[in-house]
Amino acid sequence: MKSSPYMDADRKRAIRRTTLWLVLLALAFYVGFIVLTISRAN
Amino acid sequence: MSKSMKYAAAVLGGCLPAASAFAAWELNMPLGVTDLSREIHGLHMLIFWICVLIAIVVFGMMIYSIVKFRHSKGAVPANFDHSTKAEIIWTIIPIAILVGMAVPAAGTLIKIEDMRDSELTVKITGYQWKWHYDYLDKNVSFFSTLSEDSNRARQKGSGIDPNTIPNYLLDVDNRMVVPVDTKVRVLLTAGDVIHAWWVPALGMKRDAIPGIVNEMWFRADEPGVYRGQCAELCGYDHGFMPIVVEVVTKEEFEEWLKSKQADGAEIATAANSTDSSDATMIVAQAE
Amino acid sequence: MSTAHTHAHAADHEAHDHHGPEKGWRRWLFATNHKDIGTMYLLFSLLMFFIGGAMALVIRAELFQPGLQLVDPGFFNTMTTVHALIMVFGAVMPATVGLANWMIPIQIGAPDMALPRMNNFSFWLLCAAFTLLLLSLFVAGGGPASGWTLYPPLVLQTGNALPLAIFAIHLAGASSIMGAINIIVTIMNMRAPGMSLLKMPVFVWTWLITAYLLIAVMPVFAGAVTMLLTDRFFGTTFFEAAGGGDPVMYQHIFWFFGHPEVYIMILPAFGIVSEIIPTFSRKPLFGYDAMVYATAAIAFLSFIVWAHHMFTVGMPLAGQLFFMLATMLIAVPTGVKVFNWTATMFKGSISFEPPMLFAIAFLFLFTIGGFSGLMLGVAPADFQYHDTYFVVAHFHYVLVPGAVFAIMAGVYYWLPKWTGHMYNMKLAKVHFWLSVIFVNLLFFPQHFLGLAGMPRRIPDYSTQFADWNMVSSIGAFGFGLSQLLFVYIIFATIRSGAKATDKVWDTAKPHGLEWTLSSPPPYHSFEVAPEVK
Repeated sequence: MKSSPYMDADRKRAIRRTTLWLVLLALAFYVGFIVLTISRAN
Repeated sequence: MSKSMKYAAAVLGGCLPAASAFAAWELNMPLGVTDLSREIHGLHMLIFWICVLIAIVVFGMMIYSIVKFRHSKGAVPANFDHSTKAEIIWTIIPIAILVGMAVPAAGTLIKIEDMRDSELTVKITGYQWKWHYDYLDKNVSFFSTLSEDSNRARQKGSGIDPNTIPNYLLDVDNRMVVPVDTKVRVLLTAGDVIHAWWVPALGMKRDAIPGIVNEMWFRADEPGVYRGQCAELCGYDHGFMPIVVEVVTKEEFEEWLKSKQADGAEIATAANSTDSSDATMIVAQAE
Repeated sequence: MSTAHTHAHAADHEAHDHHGPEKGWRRWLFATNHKDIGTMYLLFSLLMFFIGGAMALVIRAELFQPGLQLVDPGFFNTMTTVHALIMVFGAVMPATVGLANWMIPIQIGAPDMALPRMNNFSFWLLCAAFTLLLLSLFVAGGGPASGWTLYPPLVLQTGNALPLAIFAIHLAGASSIMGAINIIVTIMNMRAPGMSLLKMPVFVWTWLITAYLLIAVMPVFAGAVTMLLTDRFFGTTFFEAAGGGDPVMYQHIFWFFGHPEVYIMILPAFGIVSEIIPTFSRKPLFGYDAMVYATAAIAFLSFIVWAHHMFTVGMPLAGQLFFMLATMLIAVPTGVKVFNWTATMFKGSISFEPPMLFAIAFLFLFTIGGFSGLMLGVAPADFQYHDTYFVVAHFHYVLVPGAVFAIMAGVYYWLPKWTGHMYNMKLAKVHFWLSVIFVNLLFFPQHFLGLAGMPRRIPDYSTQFADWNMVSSIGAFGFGLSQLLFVYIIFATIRSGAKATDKVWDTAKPHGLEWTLSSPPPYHSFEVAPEVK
């Protein structure tokens, strides 16, 4: 895999970037819904 | 055969008007005893027949293709892979059918949610695992639990054949009694966990949620005894908190109310004089 | 693309390179290869299918006759709860993840998944999750018994099983999210040159959309159960009316997760069926673009229909109307899919190998589940159907002869590719017929029970429900036992069998890159990217 022509530096960077965005998306949903519940309670 | 005879006998014993509802091998939703429940039944049948029609067309096409275009019979495949016209048609037609279903459904929904002009209000509270009925402004309230017969038979390894118990698991000690042709408003809440109050013949089901008061209504047009069950998982004995509603004439209802009021007064007196913890509890709950 | 070239390269590669599989247990524990991890996911799912199935048989055995014969009501409730959690999170989802691991890199022409070590971590996390969940059956106070929906306040009465179950859900959720991230990253960054998004196989498309659903809703569920945990142990009152919270709010959050979850289970199934029907109809998939757009439309609608699971909680009229109309709308893209599959078979040249048999059964029986779904979407009628066996029949129709049949179809479709062996066709057809007969015997009568008024989640019932319950229980045992045949076929095929060709299926037009690789495929699927026209 390491020597594979697939894993050039550009592709690695792109993979890292996509991963980061998706992790942030998941976190946003987790935190967002807890905040939503708190804001709806009296 | 003899088995179904036994069920039939049980049905007569329960004086249920829609006798077929309790027969064995029942296939469909029984017809209820309120306008709304019949309207819901009508909607149910309408959607059902629409689905049957669509099924005939779609399954017909599938079966035709499976029978006609067999590789083993030397069918030669065509090579088309789309048809915009066909795809537009089978997007538009379902939308039209859905609109046809949604209009009557919305009409019924609006009627269901119309709580105005009720003539009697009963507050029903769900507890683990019994129902409490409180006739507001009538000074009548009581608990309703699974009948003694059913309760004995339903214990694990009781050795009692449930078929020998009339209305097994659908019978209670104290029935909810309401007058016929009267718009009864039901206020629903719960004391511990969520329950749901449901009598199929009255056509409605609604959740009883602690801390929230839900509303629903029904107007039964035939005297009789109608049975239902808790319909929201509420713990260990969820399967054992039935509901029995007895619909009586208005005169009978007034009499029943009077006798219940007298009972209530008696219990209150007993509680004052004897200090029995049981009686005290009943009074506390009655308030 | 050049098949010969790929093969030559793969063989060359394996000859002088230690990138082949490690020996013994290290191959599996430290697996980073997408095929090894895919295999582990599939075997895990098979195991869970049997554990969850055994629980279903406890349920059906108790319901065989009226009266309580075998278990007490508390244990019955535990069985319904854990059966559902295991089947949803342990059987169906890992099975589709296993198929994704095996097939997505191959179908897009990549050597492996983009994040192989995270792939390993997701799998072992899932095992940890289900160890915890199964442990929760044996702690003080009994296993979780509040239904898989875990509604408060009831769920807060659970004993020590609650923190275990919640932690299990957190781990399984984290595992799913990592799996989903891996799939999206792989699809977005690892496609072979020329493989534009609208040239991807439909299975890859459905998984891309499913992965986005997972990333959106698994954290929501994790948030909901976190709040349950703090309500139970740390004095918060998110869902407790007495403390200013709202028990109905939990249901809204749960179903905001729960409804997309349904599509998380069924969209990959749509993808599998969309691969199989064209192959055995010897005709291209009808309306590829429409299939992709319909999948996206279903995914979008899945976010705005959640409250149709809670018509009876006492929503305002406007809310009920909105959720009823939005729900009915889902029938449109779903209908497009069913019509397109039918149009694919129309004027084809159909043969009936086991994968096609399962796909055709899926087509009929999933559609039946769709019809009952349409009926349930009509709010006034739902007031009668809600929480009865009609609902049980509905979701089992879309999940068992729906999702599970599609997964079995996928296994029968790709098993020769994975193992390099053909399986016993005759036996697989016996497995199919037994499954399809018993699954209907099991679930069809439940429609009748529900309409006649039998509530779900009850361990004992009134005597008028006795006859159909008996039929349903017989169907359940028949269906359960038939699946032993499935296990036998799979393991027999792994061990031996006639050599499968690269193309495997003698179809007029092989579609998909998987058929250009050897059977079994080389360890790193595509070392050199294939050219896609």
